[in-house]
Amino acid sequence: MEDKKEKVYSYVGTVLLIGSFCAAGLLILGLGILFFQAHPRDYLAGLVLFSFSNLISSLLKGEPVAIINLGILVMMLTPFLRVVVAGFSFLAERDFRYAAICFGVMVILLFTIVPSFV
Amino acid sequence: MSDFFFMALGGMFAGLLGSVLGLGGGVLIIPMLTLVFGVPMREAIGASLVCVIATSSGAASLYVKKRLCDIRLGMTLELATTLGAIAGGIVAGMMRPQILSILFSALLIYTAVTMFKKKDEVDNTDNLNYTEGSYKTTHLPLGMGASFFAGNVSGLLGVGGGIVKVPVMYLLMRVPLKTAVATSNFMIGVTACAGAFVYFSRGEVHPLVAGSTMLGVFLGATLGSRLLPKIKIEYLKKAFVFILLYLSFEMLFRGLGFHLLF
Repeated sequence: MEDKKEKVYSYVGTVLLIGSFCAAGLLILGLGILFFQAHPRDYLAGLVLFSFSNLISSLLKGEPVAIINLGILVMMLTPFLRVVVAGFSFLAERDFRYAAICFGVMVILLFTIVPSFV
Repeated sequence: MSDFFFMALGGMFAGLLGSVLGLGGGVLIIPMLTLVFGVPMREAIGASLVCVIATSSGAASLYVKKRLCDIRLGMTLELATTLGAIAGGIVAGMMRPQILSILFSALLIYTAVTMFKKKDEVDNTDNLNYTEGSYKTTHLPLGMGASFFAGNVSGLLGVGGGIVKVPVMYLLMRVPLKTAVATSNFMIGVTACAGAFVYFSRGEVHPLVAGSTMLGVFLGATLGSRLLPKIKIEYLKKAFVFILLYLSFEMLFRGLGFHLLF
């Protein structure tokens, strides 16, 4: 039991670490490309509204702003992912009470995350 | 483009100072973005929430690996903080930015007062290592209510809300201070995530503003946590109280429609 308990902590810690470094990497890449672009556009003008299909198509074109957007999304989704990972680790430990709590938090988060993508 | 470079630099400064002083970056990032760069209030809040997630994730991964935080307690309270953050984010969307600015100014005063009164308890007196289950928490329902409020502040004003969560856990629920600090930090990421998506779905997370600030904050906070053991912060803290008070007046006047300096 003690051994398994350790695992929740180490899984969650790893998720957080990988998520934040991936996001930082994407931001460095995107901002780096933008910074060295010969003719940067005026990006501050107007809100850049996000749409998921838009993001994929501009990512495929290698647009720096899309890479930055992806980095931000990875960062924003990292806490969500760690709730999911914690939920399943509790489930594996047969700690159903806390597994249920994690899934409760997950559902609440999905209520705000899903509308952003549709 | 140079604007974004300076935003990243400013973010780095905020991240560095924030991690050294034990503040979330939000308290500094929002005044910086609105007062210096003229970013609209709600976009500044959106960017700040993303930054808060970044600092929290970086710090929490350390705390979690060292077993300093109580994941079970954190998850339970997150049920309330996430709901609070969503409510706060939605309400912020309906409020006039000026009102948000005035509310933020009140939060800055509260932060300044807390910092002024606070001694370095965390570093000195609380060196015992607590593990999960070695203490008993009390007042859970009241704690949940207070956590909803903490989430609300976070979603409404774009800060982590640690300034509410830590006293709630430490004073009300009798969680050891060190564990309360670590657990609060752990929860901040999820709370901010709930709020951030509310802003995101309204298109108020500007990729370049949020991206460059967050990168800076991330680098600054990482650097700060390395520097932390090496610097004396007593005087820095005292000086910082004045900076916070100044920013608070500036945000208040901005909310009322005057400009003091910028």
